[in-house]
Amino acid sequence: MSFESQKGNAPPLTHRQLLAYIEKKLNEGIDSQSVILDITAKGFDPAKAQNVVKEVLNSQRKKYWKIFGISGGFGLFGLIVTLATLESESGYIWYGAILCGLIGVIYSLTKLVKLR
Amino acid sequence: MDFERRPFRLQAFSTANTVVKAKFDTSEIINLFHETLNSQLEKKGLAQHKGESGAQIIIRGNVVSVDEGNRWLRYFLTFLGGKTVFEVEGEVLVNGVPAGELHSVKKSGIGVFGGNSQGLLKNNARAAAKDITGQVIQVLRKSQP
Repeated sequence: MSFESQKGNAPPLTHRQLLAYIEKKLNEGIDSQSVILDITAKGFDPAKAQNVVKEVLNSQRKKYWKIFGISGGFGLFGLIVTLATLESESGYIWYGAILCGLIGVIYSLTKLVKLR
Repeated sequence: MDFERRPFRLQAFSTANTVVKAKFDTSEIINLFHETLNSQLEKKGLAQHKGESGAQIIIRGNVVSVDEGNRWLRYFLTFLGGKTVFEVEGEVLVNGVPAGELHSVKKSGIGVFGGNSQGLLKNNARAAAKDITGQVIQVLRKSQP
């Protein structure tokens, strides 16, 4: 439980608390430069703040690209199966896969656009 | 290994810098975490210290984050998004000396129609308390001569 330097009377943020705080701010749509300024104003070393924010930003991007890939694949699978079986007697529209995939793609893309 | 009712003191985990992403009061969840942790430690053979004088074993820490996630996303993207998160970290002091660190993060993404956030967070808090108990026992075993 390593404690990070911080100004003021509030207890110092631990490294994990700092990561959670940055993650929250980035997911709220606040750009990384503003987050760096915010935590630098709290007394953190600017170079360290930049590294930590970059680290969180990359991990968040990775997370949302993963959601994009999996849900996109799922939606595409639903679409392909639907198109391939549409002409046959047993064919039906795979609403579930297409809808879930589409929601996942829209959600992940919205988040990726917000992460700056 | 029997801990022969060794006395421990559980200091309430600090919520001063907790990152909370929830629309409801999370104190109930944090209380549940403390209650479960206390009862689990007693089950493992330790005894809660009630006197004024210092206990041999002190457990203290911070609640890192409490996130209610998003029920709508849990419903559509079960394993991918909208998970509830409960994260704690801490340390064990034996005779005033840090003996080991504690950390647990529990996430839930499955529930009926996405699952009630409060209910899932309660499950996370219970699971985190059990996880922390296991870590405390491991630390104490290592620190015993």
